[in-house]
Amino acid sequence: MRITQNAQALSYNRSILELQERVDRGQNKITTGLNYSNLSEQPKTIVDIQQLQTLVDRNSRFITSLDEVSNEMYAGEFAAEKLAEKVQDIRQLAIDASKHTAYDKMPVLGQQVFQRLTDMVRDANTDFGGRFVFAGTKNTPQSLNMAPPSTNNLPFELVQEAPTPDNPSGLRVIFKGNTKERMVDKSIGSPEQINITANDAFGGSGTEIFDTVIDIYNKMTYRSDGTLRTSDEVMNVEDQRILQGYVQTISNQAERLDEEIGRYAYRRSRLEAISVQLTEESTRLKELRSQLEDTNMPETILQLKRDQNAYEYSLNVGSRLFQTSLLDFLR
Amino acid sequence: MGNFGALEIGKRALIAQRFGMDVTSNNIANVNTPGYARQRVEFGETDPQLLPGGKGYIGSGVEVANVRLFREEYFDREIRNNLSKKSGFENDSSILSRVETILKEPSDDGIDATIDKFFNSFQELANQPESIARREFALNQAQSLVDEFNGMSARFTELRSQVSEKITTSTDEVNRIIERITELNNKLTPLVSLGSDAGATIINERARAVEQLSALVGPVNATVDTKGLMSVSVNGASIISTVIGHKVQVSETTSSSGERTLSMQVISRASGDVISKFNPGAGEIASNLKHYNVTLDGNDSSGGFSIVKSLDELAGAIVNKVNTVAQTGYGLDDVTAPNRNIFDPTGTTAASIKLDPAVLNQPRNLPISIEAGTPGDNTIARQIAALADDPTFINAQTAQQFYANTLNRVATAGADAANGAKTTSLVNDQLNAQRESVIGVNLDEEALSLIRYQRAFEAAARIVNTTNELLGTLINLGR
Repeated sequence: MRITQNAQALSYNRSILELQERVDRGQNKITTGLNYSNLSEQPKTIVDIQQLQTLVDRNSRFITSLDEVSNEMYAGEFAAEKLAEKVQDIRQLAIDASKHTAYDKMPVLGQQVFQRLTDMVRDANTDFGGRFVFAGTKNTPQSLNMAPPSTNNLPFELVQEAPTPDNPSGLRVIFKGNTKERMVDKSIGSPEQINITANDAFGGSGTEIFDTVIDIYNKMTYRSDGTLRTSDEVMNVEDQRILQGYVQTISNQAERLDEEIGRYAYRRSRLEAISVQLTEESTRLKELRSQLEDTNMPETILQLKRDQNAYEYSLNVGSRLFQTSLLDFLR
Repeated sequence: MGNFGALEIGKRALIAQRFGMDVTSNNIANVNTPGYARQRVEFGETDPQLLPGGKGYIGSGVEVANVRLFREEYFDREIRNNLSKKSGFENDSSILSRVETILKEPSDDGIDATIDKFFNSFQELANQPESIARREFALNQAQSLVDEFNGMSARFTELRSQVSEKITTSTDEVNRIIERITELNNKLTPLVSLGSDAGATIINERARAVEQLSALVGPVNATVDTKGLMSVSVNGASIISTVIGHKVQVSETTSSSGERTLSMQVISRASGDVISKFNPGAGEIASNLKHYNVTLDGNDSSGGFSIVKSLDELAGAIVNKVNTVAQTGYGLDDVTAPNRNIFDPTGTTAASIKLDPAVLNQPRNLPISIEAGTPGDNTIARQIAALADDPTFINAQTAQQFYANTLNRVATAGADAANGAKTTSLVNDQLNAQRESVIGVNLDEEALSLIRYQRAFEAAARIVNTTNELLGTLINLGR
């Protein structure tokens, strides 16, 4: 084949460009840390990366969500536990009052029950980040049912109404929220309740346990005819029997509250476990993505060195290749 | 033959060798001229003279019989065909690279990531649906999504406009080349009688022009008649008929559905009448027409892959799906069903998507609760967040699957174009090398020719000198 100057140049030019491209690609891989810098370099791999990223993003969405609600659930659980302690105290006071026939400080016990009742109401009004934890989905001050006799913008309020034969103190706890469940998605299409509703925790429409406490308070503080007990007055047998009935009721309610706290704690723990699982899965997905996406530095550096050497030798040879022709030797 | 005969032979030899040196010099001068075909002088004996008495013939010297042009039509045609593919692939690759740049993938701030952030913001809002800060954040993410779609659409519109300008510029270039080839045919006409290679320089230039034409409009059918004049047609449409050249023009039509399509026609240079349709089969213009009419056309109805249409479909699906869920929700202050949208339902394309005025800068109005007066209810927020994983979101896929498939099509098309450009470039180099082996200039070879002509010239000069001395001797005989 006849070789011409341009034929040599064409071939040399192509080789040089290819080597330059390889060196450039190697440098790019090292500086960016990525195997691919644009879509068309490896379409399938980049779509695989994209799909892995979608899974990582989805997991991180659920992880963030679960971690956040976990804190809120801790707050709810803590408030419910404190409230349960008060209920146990009240139950114990009621047991004491019903067992000691000669006990002559009944109004004092009543005052202790009242004190715990106000504490219970305070605990029931616990909020987390401005959200009342036992108020269902009406969990902000503005959204509460503020109808009379409500005087404040808290979901549970101890109000004083006109005395009645059944409720000589006139005390009543009103609930201004609702008993709707609040949900979080722990995975696709898999919701989980994240709040303790007032009816589940406190019974009835959300105030049953408070009614029982008020009954106990009333029985300790008032006689059957609705008049106040004196400080040295002893409870009669009939009142003791009624009080024992209240003890049974509040025991049942305390048990239900404990069960609800247990379920709630278990649910929180399960959500935390799911969050950990998702985190581990995300770590594996990120590893897979990294294998596809990230530059293998030692391999790339070695390859770059080889390409640079080839490029330099090629330049060296090229400078001699086009150096001379017969014209240089003619005189 | 007398003494002056030898002088005549010497003169002819001087002229012929001098001509040889000129042709060689021209070859050397054009060693780097693209598409240049070397030329070689072919000598021939001049008519012999009858010896006195009719006893035979004696040679009368040398003359330039022909200047041979080393053109190879086979390689020219192959190179033209490959060049049209190469320029088409290169143009595809260039435009698809721009598309990739606009899409900003793979990265953490492309539209994929923005969609993800949008749905994430509703997931986060679901944890605190009563929080104004989270509502603001969700609205900001929705606005970012809108901005991303709008920005991308604007950039694609700009790219489409640039492609249109390129088509116009290339069309002007095609017309300039048609004019040039016609002009070269005209210049060749008077040389026809001198032999097929008489207009070697013109033929070389015309071959270069036809190559340039092929790169623009695809494979051209170039035929040379017995007189050496060239006619050119593209995909059956004649654009040059020897010394008559037509023009090509671009025109845009808009369909009832708003689809704007560019097409080309051949028109008479004299009358301006449309002669025929002009469909470049490959090359830069065909590539640009394809991207203008399909890839970058949001209203394309051809069924081909349109990135703009895909983005429009995605934006439309987001608007419709999110709004359908949002319409069942309540804002913080709603007491009756507001039937409120998050995105303006009239904007269902990447260019027109926008937030609904009812929620714009009004986070309290974000309808994310299932009933009135329940700010802690997150049902609608969760439903919107769950759309991220809705397998029926668009074309029986999730939004991200749809986008990944769209990216895959862009990437595959880009890879095909890059590979095509690389392959055709390699073929082009090989064909050029093969053609160079025939038509190209070898400096060593030319140097040898130069020596040959120089030595022959010196020898001829010696003949003249010797003859001159002989004549001098004769003239001095009588003294």
